Amino acid sequence: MSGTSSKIIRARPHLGTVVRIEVAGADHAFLTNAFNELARLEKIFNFYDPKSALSQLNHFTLNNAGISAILGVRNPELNELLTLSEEVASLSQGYFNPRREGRIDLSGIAKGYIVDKTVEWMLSHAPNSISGCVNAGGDLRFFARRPREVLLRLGTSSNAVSRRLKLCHECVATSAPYAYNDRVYYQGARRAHAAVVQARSATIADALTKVALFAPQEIVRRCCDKMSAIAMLFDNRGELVA
Amino acid sequence: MRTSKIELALLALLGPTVAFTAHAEVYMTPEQAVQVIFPGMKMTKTSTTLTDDEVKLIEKLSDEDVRSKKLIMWRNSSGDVVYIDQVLGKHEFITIAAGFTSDGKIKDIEVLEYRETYGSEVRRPAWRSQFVGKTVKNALKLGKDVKNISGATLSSLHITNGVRRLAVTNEVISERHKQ
Repeated sequence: MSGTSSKIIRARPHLGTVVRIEVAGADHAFLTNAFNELARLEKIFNFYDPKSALSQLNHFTLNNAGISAILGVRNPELNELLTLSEEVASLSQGYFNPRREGRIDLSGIAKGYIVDKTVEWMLSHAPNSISGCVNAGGDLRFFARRPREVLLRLGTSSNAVSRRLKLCHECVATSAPYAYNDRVYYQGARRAHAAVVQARSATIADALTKVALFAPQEIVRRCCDKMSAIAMLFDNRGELVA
Repeated sequence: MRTSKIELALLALLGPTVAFTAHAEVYMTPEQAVQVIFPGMKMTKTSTTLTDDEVKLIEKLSDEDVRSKKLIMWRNSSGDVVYIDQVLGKHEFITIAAGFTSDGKIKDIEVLEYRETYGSEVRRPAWRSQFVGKTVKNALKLGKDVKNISGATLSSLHITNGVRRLAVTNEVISERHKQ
């Protein structure tokens, strides 16, 4: 087992993808605990797990269980992300929408949030100073030290291109409409092939990729200005379109 | 003017297009994975070969092809086991370590090596339920037990299928000792 001096990288299947955590200054046991924290957060926001806090909230809401029952299931993380989601929804004039068929679905923002919270957990629980990156299938957050650039991989498997992206913030999120099976999403976003957003938090970067894909440019600009983010849209050849 | 300035500023953030190269990364050795999944346990490396009948049974129960009859595993005296297995996706090649406790429940899944032939890394609004605590009786099938909103990434789909096959394999091998 490696000690705490060298960089270690681990990957586990979570959040519908392979989550990769890279850290310098910690050991494997610490990283196992970080993945366990990530798994704990994943359970809270799982839309399809009837036991998740989110599902319980939806259950009580749909069944008009009353405000006390609804507030009873709100754990701190769910509460915090609901507030953030409402802020982005309001600022984007509903182009980011955490509601689906009368229920709350946070899958357009929760992956970034879980990346943020996992990084926060790592920074607050590390016995000494650490640096590294959490990458949840395209939602990245660097901590303590960030490289000058990252590689963007754009396009479909038969037509993949890479571009180097200069980093201005710690967090980058990539979202592509072809990844959605939802036909409405796909048709609504046909003008762009992929959105890449840099921000100070992975939560905001994640949510704003959806705004960048679906909202008019004026709304995208306003959201980016307010949230200190940078949004870019690419066509299917990896060329910048907006 | 405003638009062109913004576009120029965004272009400055981009470097040149680079030829896409296959992405490959080795995260840990099988020995390290075994220690991470069952910390402090004395695990011994062993191997076994599945019979033709066992292969047929595993394929029937898991709905997955068994590509190799030979299994590499680490066991301890309590009956905990870690399998090292390879999962082939359409565009990726993934080596995983899957740990099972003596009662057949999944302890942890660790990715040891991830190699893409080509492809794009995109985020998808997909969720994966925890593998931990699942047994073969839970079906462990995407869309049924391991839920996804609208399609998992290829890699997680193939890992899920591979883990389901290993859960069945583990049960089949456990039956050997009972006979």
